[in-house]
Amino acid sequence: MKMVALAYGFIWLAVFGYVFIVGRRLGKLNGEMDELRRRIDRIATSAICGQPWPSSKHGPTSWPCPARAASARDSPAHRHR
Amino acid sequence: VIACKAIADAPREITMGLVQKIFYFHVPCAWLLMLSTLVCAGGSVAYLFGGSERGDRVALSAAELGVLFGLCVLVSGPLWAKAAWGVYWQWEARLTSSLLLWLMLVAYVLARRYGGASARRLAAALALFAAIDIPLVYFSVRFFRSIHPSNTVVSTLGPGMRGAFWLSLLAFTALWWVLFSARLATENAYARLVDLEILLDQAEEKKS
Repeated sequence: MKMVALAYGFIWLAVFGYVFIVGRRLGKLNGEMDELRRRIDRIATSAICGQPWPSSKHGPTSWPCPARAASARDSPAHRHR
Repeated sequence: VIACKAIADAPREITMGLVQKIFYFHVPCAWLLMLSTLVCAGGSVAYLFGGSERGDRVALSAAELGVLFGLCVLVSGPLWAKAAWGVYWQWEARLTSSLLLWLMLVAYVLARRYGGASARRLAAALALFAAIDIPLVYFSVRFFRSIHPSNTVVSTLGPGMRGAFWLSLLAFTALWWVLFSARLATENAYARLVDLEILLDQAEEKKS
């Protein structure tokens, strides 16, 4: 009984350990994706900062600049993009 | 869960008793070690001869699972052997070739993890060597004098045992597929992320 429990327990421990490692890698990957998203946001907003917004009827009159980018994230312009 | 219940409900073997139940997960793990090695070798062939990056990612994901299930084989086997043979380990053909196969997969994973980009081709070649070891592992009990049970042991199982064995094999293969898909998806996402970062670096360089 002891040998069966040991073998069975080890296999499940190894599988759960592997799942944990893959989960951690996934977490790290998500962190790197967030960092990349922030970089893209910075570049995109600095490239078009101050340019006139194509349809000024509902949105802002111009694209937000990097300093204002975070607060403008929920703006219609950002959502449109 | 169904497989676990089937293993628990399977009739007890007369000579060995309860310890024979190790067989129900030792053999599926051994099958998955071989399957992982074959998939790893297939991916490595695609990478070495076709330059397939996806093949390389498939190979890495399969090699990791080979290490995992190989470890399960090398732990559950000796536990059964202690009860059946009185010793944990014998340097006989089946056990030694299985250990060798597992060590080659460990070497593959270590080369990929710490060898950098230049080690990818070397690791792929190592995977081909590992694949050559599979027939040696499988046929070792036929070609060499071995105390390990033969490959025909499955066909000698009683009706109650046979059902539990095939169910366990199916469940373990499904588990392998789920783990493999998750690992490959992570590896694919990471590759896309690296591509995007390179593109972004180039865009920033151009701009400056």
